Order: sequence, then structure tokens, then C-alpha cells
Amino acid sequence: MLVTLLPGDAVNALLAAAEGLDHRVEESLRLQFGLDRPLAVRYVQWLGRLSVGDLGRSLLSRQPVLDTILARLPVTIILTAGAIFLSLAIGIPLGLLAGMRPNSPADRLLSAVAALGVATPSFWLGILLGFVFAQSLGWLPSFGYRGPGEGGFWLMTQHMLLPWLTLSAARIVEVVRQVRSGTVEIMTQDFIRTARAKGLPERLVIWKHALKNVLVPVITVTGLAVGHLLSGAVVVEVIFLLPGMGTLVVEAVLQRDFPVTQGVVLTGAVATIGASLLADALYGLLDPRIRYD
Amino acid sequence: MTDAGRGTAGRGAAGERATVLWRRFFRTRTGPFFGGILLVLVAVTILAPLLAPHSPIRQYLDHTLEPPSARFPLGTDDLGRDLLSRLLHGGRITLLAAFVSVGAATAIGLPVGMISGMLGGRGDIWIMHAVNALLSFPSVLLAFAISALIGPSLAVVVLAISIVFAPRMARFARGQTLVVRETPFVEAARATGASLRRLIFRHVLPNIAAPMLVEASLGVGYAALIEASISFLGAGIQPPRSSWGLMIKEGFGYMDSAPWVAIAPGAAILLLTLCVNVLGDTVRDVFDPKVRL
Repeated sequence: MLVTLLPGDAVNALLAAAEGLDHRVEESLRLQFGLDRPLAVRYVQWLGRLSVGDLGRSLLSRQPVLDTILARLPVTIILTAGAIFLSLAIGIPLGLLAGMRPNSPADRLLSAVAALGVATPSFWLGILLGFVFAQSLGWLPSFGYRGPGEGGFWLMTQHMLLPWLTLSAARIVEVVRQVRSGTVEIMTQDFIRTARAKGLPERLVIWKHALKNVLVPVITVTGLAVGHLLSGAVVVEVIFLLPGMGTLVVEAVLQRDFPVTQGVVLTGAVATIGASLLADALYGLLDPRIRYD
Repeated sequence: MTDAGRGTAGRGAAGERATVLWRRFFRTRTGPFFGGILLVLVAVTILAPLLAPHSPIRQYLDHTLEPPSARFPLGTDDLGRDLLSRLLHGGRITLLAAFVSVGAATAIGLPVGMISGMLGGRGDIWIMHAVNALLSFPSVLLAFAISALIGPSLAVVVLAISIVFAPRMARFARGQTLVVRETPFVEAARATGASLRRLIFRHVLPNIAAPMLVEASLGVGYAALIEASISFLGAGIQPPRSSWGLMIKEGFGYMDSAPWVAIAPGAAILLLTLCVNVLGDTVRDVFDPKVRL
């Protein structure tokens, strides 16, 4: 934990610099103080309070930062988890499709779409999706949030579908690429040939033998991608006006609300690290060849 | 690699290798094609003051939100500014920010990664802890917070993206260094008493230069996306200057009446990132002797 926070020094120090000061004084003070000792002291104080679970209070609303974050957290979790689910649900079948028949027309089409997908700014995609499906066709609401508690699961899904698609687009492409290359490699392996030779139907070869081997690295990479997803979620929440951590931090940063900013950035970092640790643990569980001694 | 021995007589081995690489590059169809588009993109943005039909900040107030026409080839925005001119001028900012920040990140990350990799042991572990800790912050969020808190300007945007990218480049450089470190020729050099400095400059650097170049070029596309994201969130380039991300932000509010305002700059980012990504992948194949072209 400490190791994680140390190099954040410069940033956190920066954020801690003007706690509770008038906005105009802030700028000059930040320059004046630079990386001087008071900053370090403030930073250490912040760390000290952090160790007992106190993130301080918002400079604007005077609410405890922790409460504010906890109130916004569910939206971001629903957004991110839904995007992860979509990326796997869409990416894995498409990746298999492409990897089973490398260089087939379907495979070529998919890799062209994938190249486009990686290069598309996600927020621009979100704006376009909103334009097409909400404004022009009127199929879905273009912004706003309904929690699962207010109107049920379907209303929530209607509101979240475009944000989910926007956030997951880049991930879908990654998953397709990874599953494709994994499948191409696996299909040439001896045990697949053996499975085929003993007369196993092709469907079983794929589902029982190939898929298991392909999916393990996909899970790891998904865990590592949580940081990217959280970055994307910031922008997606702004576009679709979702009251999550992303909109919270954007407001906080633009209004120089340092405690809130620090709190959200820290939460993001903890989530990123937690997800990659979880992925590591799952990796060990799923692949018996891997041992953590 | 049948043509490896067919180099022009009288030239050094390096020149011969370059000729071979060029020939391989031109054998790929994608490389010259997307490389050409990228060159055109760079050229038109550099020549923006000469090519732009209007001033990027001149407001034709009786021509606001006009669709594309002969006078305004891409239409006008809400303040009656010519979108093509803003796109060309904004491209200078976006491209400059992307290339300079990736260059700076490489200049910092490459030496750190090489030294960390060559040192090994405790020094390596601590450097990598610091690098991984920096990487655990969601990238857009970190760049956005840095940029907003210092006060947005082109230089700050470049600084923020560099801070996000430097640890990535360091980790990549270290990974590559670890591979080279174990090769027999480095071992031999070490055995003859070569200094760390000599090992790094004579042996490691030349051997990781190609993959670093590829990684950096892929980074340029990603850096352009980050610049766009933070400008979109309001902490990047400030009006009346333009960058492609800022232009999307400006057009976002007029999607219902004038969708072209946001569509054009997004398409420009898409094209830039696509070119850079495909080019990076192609160059990787060109340098990989195992790939048949």
C-alpha cells in the first residue's frame, strides 16, 4: 500500500498544496511552495488520516469524501462491470469465429473492423452512438441514469446500453484479437489433433479443449484492463450524464476540490491494483500449471 | 530472406540492412499506403496557415452552424468559424502534443528501463515498483488531473501525457533489455570487462531500438486519444485555439442540429490513430525476420 502511494507523491503533493485556500491565492502559492516541506507535511498528514479511513471533506459541499465516493460508486461499478461483460460476451465468440478459420473473409472483415475500433476515440463513438440510436432513431434514451432500484432492470439496461457499448468497444476489439490469436495457436497443438483423431466432434474439440486454454489469458488481460476501463468510464459518464465517480472527479478537478480529487484518484488506483491481483489469483486457480510459492 | 545477400556492393553492413528493410517495407501493401496518408496528414497540418481557406478564429456570425458548402468545405461551428480551417490548425496542436509527449516519455522511460534491466537485483525491483505504482493510476484520469490542476496549456498537456507514458516506455524498455541481457554476445562483452555504459550503448540500445520505435509509434496514436480526451473534458487546449478533442467537445452540444461539427474532428483522430497503429504493426513485421512479407 505504502509503495503504491509513494511515487504518487508529486501528484498528491500537488493536489494537497492548496487545501482550504482562496482560489486566487492558490495559483501563486502552488508556484511558491513547489515541492517545499509544508507540502510533504500536508501529504504525510493526509496519509496519516488515510490510514484510519478518513479521506477528508469536500471543499465545496463539506460532505465527507468517503460518503460522496460511496454514493457515486455503484453507478461506475454497474457501468464498468457491464462493459466487461459485454466485451467478453461479444468478443469471445467473434474471436473464436475469426481464429477457427484464419484468413477467411469473416476473419479479414473482423480484423479490419478491429483496426478501426482501436483507433476510434471512445467518447466520439459515444457521441455518434447517441446521435444515431437516441436522437435519430429514438430507440434509446440519450442520457441520464436509472438505478436498478428505480424502475427495474430493463429501464436501467435501456439507459446503460449506449454507455456500455461505448465503453466496451475498445475492449471488445482487444478480446477478439486475443481470442483469435490464441485460437489460431491452440488449433495447431498436438492435443487438439489427438482430440480430433479420436473422433471427437468439432464442437466438443472447441468447447472442451480449445476454449479452456484460450480463456485463461483473456481473464488476466481483462483484469489488467480495469484501469483503462476506469479511464474510459470518466469520459463516458460525462457524455451520458451518469452520476458516477467520473462525473464526480471531473467536477472536482475543474473546481479544484482537492480532497475529492485525491479520493477518487486513489479509489481508481486501488481498484486497478485490486483487479490485477484478482486476475493473478484467478490465473493460478484456472491454470494448474501455475503455482505461487 | 533470400535477398539478404543481394545488397549493393561497396556499402556497409548497416546500409545493406537498411536497404533490405526498405524493400521489405514496400512489399507490405499496408505500410506505404498508411505511411503515405500519415505523411499527408502531417504535411497539411504543418502547412495549415497556407492551406486553410479562412482564419481558424475568425467568426462569421451570420454563418453559424452552416452545413458544408463551397465557401466552408466542412461547414461552420456555433460561432461561425470555418471548420476546415480549425481542423487544419487544430491538427497541428494534436499532432504536436502526441509526438512531443511520446518523444519526451521515451527520452525518460528508455534510459530508466535500460538501466533498471541491466542493474537487476534490488535497484531493478525498486525502480519497477515505482513504475508500476505510476501505472496503477487510470491514465486519462491522471493526465486530466495533472493538466487541470497545473492550469491547462499546450505545454502542460504535453507534460501530463509524458508523465502518463514515461512509465509505460520504461517498463517496455526493461522487458526488452532483459531479453537482450541474456544473449551470448552481451555475456561475452560482460566477460571482457565492458562497462555498464558501454554495454548499454553498444549492445542493448541498438538491439532494442526497433521494438522501442514500434512501441513509441503505437504510443503516438494513444497519446492523441488522451489529448483528445482531456481536451474534451475541459482541461486540455483552451479556446479560441483548437485541437481535435476540443473541437469534438465544441460540437457535442450541437449534435441534434449540426452533427458535422463533432464528426469531422473525430474522423481526423480516427484516421491519425489508424495510420500510426497500422504503420507500427507493419514496421514490427518488417523488423521481424521470421515474418514472411
